[in-house]
Order: sequence, then structure tokens, then C-alpha cells
Amino acid sequence: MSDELAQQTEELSLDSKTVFDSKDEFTAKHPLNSRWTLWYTKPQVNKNENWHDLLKPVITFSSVEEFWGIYNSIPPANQLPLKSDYHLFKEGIRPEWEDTANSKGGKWQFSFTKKHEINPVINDLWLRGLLAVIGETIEDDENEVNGIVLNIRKQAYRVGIWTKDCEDSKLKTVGERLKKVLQLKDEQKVEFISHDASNIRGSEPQIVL
Amino acid sequence: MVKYTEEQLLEAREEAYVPSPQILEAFNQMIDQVKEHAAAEYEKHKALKWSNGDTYIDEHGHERSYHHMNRRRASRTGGSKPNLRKKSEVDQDGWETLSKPKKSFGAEEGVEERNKFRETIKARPNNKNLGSSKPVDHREIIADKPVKAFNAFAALEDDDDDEE
Repeated sequence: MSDELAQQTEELSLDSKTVFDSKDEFTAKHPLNSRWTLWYTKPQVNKNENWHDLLKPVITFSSVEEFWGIYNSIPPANQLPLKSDYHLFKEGIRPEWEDTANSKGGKWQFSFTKKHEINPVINDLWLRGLLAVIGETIEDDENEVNGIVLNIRKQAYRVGIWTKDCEDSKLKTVGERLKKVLQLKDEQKVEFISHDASNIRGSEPQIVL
Repeated sequence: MVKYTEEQLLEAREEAYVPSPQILEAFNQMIDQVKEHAAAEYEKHKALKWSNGDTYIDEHGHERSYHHMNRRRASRTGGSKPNLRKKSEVDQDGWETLSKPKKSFGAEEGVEERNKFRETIKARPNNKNLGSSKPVDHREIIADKPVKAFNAFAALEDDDDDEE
């Protein structure tokens, strides 16, 4: 069954057409500032599958209309299987630490641990996160944000915003906006941790808001 | 830089356009297959937990494990145990006797004879029956002998006696 899955996902291509590719089709009235690629981490169903086999680019889009078309056609957050991840990254950036655009950066993140409480609203919160990223209101003009990630785990839903750098001055706006987007209370803290620090066990977050 | 607020983006929701329906269809199929696999794994795991695979079909056609035949004996600690200890007795002077009950049959018979016999026997350590085969150190035996130690209070009393 895993071979079939692999074959099917290989067929998924990145060359979806937008208004930029096909000027005759004016279905896209609202072009986005950046082109975005939706990625998906498939839970491992076979021990032979490694990380690269599991991380799949699904589709790339560049307009608001396309975003909605895609969003309406894919499973909502609370319908994804455990150990799945959605990643929405600027085109050309892989959602991996090793990617040159990510290697010097880190992530703002928050974990919703009370899944039974958050389950009815996680879809809306994730949507708000996506809109803030594609609309680029998650930051001012810092151009720090590379993408947004949703992890579906047994104990928690975790939302993270990946950044290019780790400079405090550039990051605080993003952290504060993420907190608003996720409708967190004051006592619910978002944390920023660099990718380098994430690799070291027990390392403390760089910023807590 | 083009920016869209959440409200602006939501307004355009009705104008949704699916760029490559076949890609998204394949994606949904993949997720369905992952879910099916996860559900099958869950059932397998549940079945493994329920039995070790060694089962039989009962008279109603249901698969059952042999757990009931291999079950541990139920604990008896739940019930209250009778207290077999002899109750303590308090004598006229207020002393409480906590002696254990004699367990051997006829233990109270011939107690005097037994005590006399015990007095006549001098117990000697038998090296063969000790844990160590090392011979008993005689110096230790000597060290155990009661020694008349100097007692200051006794000495004072003696002095008083002398004065009298």
C-alpha cells in the first residue's frame, strides 16, 4: 500500500497554473505578494519510508482565489491523521532546517495541549494563521517569515511560524501577531527558538512572549 | 508590497478557484489511505492488547482468549483476617503480658522437668554446625566473661560503711 501512496504522491506536481501563467484566465483577481507552496508530511506507514519520502509538496498558488480553492478542497486540520503536518512556505523554500533560507532562522510556536478543548476551533485558528501569512500581515516590512507549520500530534496541535533570522528586534512583531492570530490569552506564551538550539536537548527558548 | 487583511481575504472566499483538481483529488485519496492504514493499525494493536493471539471460539461463535484459565489467584487481602494472637493480659500491678501462644501440642506438660534438664546442660558451640568452619577464638570467650568493673557509687557506699 505504501508503494501506491508513494506513486500517487510522486504524481503531485508543483506546476499549478495561476493568473501569471495564463493571463487569459482572469479567475485570479487578487494576486498575492508571494507564491506559496503547500507541503504535507505523511505519517510513516512503512518502516522503509524516510523523512524525504514523507515530506511532499502538494501544490503551489499565487492568488487569493486559488488559496480558497485549495483550502476548500483539502482536509481541515482536525481531520488530518496523527503525525501529519501541513506546511505553507514561500515557493522555493523547503520546510526543513537544512534549507539555506531556514538554516540561520528559527520558529515562533505555540502548542495547544488541551486537544478536546481546542478541537472545535483549531480549524479556524489554523485558517487565521494561513491568512496572516499569505496576506503578509503577520509582519510589517521585516520580510522575516518563510512559512507556517501545523503539527498534528497525539498530545497537541502545534502551530509554528518559521523565520529567516534570529534577531530579536525583527522577531518580536511576528511573535506578538502570532499571539493575536491564535487568540491566545496573556498567560499563554509563544516561544521563539532557533533551529540550531532546537537541535540541542534542553535548550531554552530565545524569546518568550 | 501587496498585503491583505483577514477581512479582505475572507471577502474573496466566494471566488474560490481550484487550480488543479486532479492534484487535490490525489492528495485527498492519499490522506484517506493513511487514515485507513492508521485505523487498521489501531484495530491490530487493540486486538494484540486484548489477547496474545491464542484464542478459541466459544459456543456462541465469539472469539475468546484463554485469560480466564491463566488468571492469577484472586488476592485474599480484601477480607478481614481473624486475629489469632493471644490477647494481652494486664495483671494487678499493671504489667501487661504479651507472650506468644504455645503452638506445640502438650507444650505445658512437663515444663518443670524441661527447665531442670536445660539447667544441667552446658551449651557449647559446635563448630561443625556453625556457618564458619573457623575455630572459635578463645580470647573472645574470655572477653565475654563478666568482669567486675569499678563502680564509683558502690565505692562511695563502701566508704560510708567504713566510716560507720
